[in-house]
Amino acid sequence: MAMSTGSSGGVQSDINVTPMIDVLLVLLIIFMITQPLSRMAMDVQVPPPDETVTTKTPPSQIVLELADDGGYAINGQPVPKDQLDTQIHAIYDQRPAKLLFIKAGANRIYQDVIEAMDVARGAGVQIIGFTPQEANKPK
Amino acid sequence: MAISTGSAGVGAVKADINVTPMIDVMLVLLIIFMIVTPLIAAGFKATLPKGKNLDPRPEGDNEVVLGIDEAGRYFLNGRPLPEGTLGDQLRSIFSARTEDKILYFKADNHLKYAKVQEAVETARRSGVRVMAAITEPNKTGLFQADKDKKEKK
Repeated sequence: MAMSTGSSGGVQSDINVTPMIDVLLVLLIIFMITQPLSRMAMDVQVPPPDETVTTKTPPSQIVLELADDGGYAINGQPVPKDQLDTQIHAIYDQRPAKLLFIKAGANRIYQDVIEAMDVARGAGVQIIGFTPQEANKPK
Repeated sequence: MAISTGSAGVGAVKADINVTPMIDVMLVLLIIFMIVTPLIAAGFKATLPKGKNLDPRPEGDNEVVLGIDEAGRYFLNGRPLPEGTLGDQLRSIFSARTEDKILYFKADNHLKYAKVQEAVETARRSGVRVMAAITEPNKTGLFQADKDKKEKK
């Protein structure tokens, strides 16, 4: 048995916890360091501050709308939520500019907006922009 | 006699507990609580939205983080902001800032988009060019791999 090898006399009856605590401390420090490094985010372009520039929109741009009633629309055409991914794929596979504008109704929940951006990024969109507030008001 | 040299000294019973490891742990706990307490005291309570296609954005030293909690209150770099001062605060930060115009944005996932839009409007008039919406990964890679395996079976 392991006890017999000691031969120095007294039997040590308690477990030596020092190595375990060493290991735990190191683990703790590792987690403390990696925690701030693990932050994830989605970059969204903010419209430029001067409003005059943003009122004219080039016809080629694509706007994903989240309507107040819970629906989704790409450039005014309603799209069911489960087809968003394929629709965006179909549009952006041929386009060199992977830019999408997000326009959401005031009553939509932030999580929905993030989800829509998430789907768009998964479907190949590289740059997402928020639309200015003036554009969201009904004409 | 059978008592050999040295064994008498080693065999002596140590009566006191070794407290050094315990003190180590206590000190680390103390430091953790010292770091965490100001964050709790600030009252920022928000559930971050979840997403899948995210970019890693490691925390840096000199960055501006705007938080909006469940109740719709603004927090700038962890400190609560009085109503209506967000624009001035952001403007004074970003006009003096030369490195980047990124505003890290940490908002509760149940907020109405109107609230978010308001923040976006304020930010863009204050010189922000990019907002990084901080999002939690939906599933971590390891567990996702496990789930995929289960679904295949």
